[in-house]
Amino acid sequence: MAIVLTGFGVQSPLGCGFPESMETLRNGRPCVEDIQNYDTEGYEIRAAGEVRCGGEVVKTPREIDRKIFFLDRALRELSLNTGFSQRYGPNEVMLNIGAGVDYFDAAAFSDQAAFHHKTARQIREVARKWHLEAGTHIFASACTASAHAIGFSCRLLRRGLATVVVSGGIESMISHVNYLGFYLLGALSRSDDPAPYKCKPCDLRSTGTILGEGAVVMLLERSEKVSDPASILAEIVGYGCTMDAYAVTDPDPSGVPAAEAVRQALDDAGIGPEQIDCVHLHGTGTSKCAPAEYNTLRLVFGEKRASEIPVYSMKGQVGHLIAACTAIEMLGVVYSLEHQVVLPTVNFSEPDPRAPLNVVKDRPLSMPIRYVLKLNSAFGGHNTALIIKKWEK
Amino acid sequence: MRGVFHRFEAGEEILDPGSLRNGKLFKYYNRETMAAVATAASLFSETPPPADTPFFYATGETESCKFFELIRQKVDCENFSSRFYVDEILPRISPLVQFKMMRNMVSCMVAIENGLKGDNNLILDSASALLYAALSSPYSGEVIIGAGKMYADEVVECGFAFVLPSELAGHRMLGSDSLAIDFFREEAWR
Repeated sequence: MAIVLTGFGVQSPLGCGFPESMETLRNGRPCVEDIQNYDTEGYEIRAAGEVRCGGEVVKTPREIDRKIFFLDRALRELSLNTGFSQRYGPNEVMLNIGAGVDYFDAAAFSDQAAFHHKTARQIREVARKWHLEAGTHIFASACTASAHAIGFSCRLLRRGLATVVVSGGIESMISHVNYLGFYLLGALSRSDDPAPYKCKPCDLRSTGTILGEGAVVMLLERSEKVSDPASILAEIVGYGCTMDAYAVTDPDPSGVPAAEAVRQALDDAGIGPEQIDCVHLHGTGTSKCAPAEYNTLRLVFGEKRASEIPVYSMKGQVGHLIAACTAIEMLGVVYSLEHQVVLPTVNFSEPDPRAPLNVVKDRPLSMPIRYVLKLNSAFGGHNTALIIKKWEK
Repeated sequence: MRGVFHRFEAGEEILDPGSLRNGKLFKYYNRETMAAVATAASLFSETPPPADTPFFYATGETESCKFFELIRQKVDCENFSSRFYVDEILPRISPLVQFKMMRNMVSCMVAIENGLKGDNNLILDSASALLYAALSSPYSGEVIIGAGKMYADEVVECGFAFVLPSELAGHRMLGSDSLAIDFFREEAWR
């Protein structure tokens, strides 16, 4: 029995819908510009990866929590594309989703209800609307929230604790309170290059990350329940997660706990590290991320192969979708498996000597790809590893 | 199953920073973090868990934020603008506020304080998700589950337990909309 991914619903900087998003991945168009959805007068930094349709930023009134708005639209696409609501009863479809911080409407400080948009309550309402009635489970581990949601879903499906799962992640921190709050943490890119702004994963000149937003949902099923095998996009074969228990803001630089997450995922998949063909990194563009990820790979693959195995980060192109980052980055994994290429990391040009990784640049690297390792980590020390396999049956 | 449940009243001192192994991190603690670290300590006092013990924690939906209450008192919403926010509000915000608002900081601080490095998850609200997380963990022994809830009046409730995943099979809260904190409030060892 295999756990397979059979469809996406996508509202993201890459585009609205799975086909548009895959095309934007293919053409490598940077999706980060100045914030357009609201006035940012006075902002020192104003770059973000906002959700786009046909290249245009999707604008919403300030009263709307954008991550919930996009979740609704992504579920509509997923339902249309996969027909899950026709193939399964409402009590069989579970929603396991990573979600970001609450939305606060800064212009409504005086009205508590209008000011504070609570996340869990809103997600449950959307789940009811789409008849996802086998349980709504929300994960909130920041940058690993959607990885936790996907890994949790695989465990439940494998153990027969769920019949079918809609998983993924939603996020929008592109608002006065949350964007500027993140700015205060000092993690945003301070690149003074002209637009499009530069989140530069693994690059010597990286100065920080850039926020993105969106909702990416996917249908996870047991292979024997799939009515049309041609719809299978990939198989999720391994999952592991650990905690650093090290620091609040920095990853454990040794990479030891993250490497343990990879080892768990390899054990779960029943494969050895030599079978991994490429690695899709967390790759935030912050100064401590790349060295920690390099050390993780060094522990897993050995020093020589850690510098040889092709790696990729999507965040240069779309920014950091925080609670939805793994979900959107699964599109890159599916792209690699479908087209047998590792995409170039947008904005990468000069390697960071502290992290001598084989970052693909300039053009896609064609190669046989059977297994992809997907890494993510979060503020506070969560590490996740997913192993995704090309569907071959 | 062995567990603890504590309720801390508004204004009640929850934790002595001097008792922490990592006291310098106390500045990042909100009241739920204090409650979680204190409650975990009371559970772990007799049996410190091995570092690889899975740890699953559910935090409650945010009910209020003292920081925003302070801001609200000082803001003229009639004249709101981006420039106003940047000039008048942003300077009042400490970066520490962001850490206190990040939901995963509670479980991360418990992990740091107790050296927990194993399988984990951070759940919002749901007892079902918390119990499923424990039930589906590949770990063969006892796992740690916890939940906290800070109410609008700053009362905090928190529970922690060691459980064998098999003890949770068929639990009535699986698949329900129950809050995770209710699991601990309702258990007999309260």
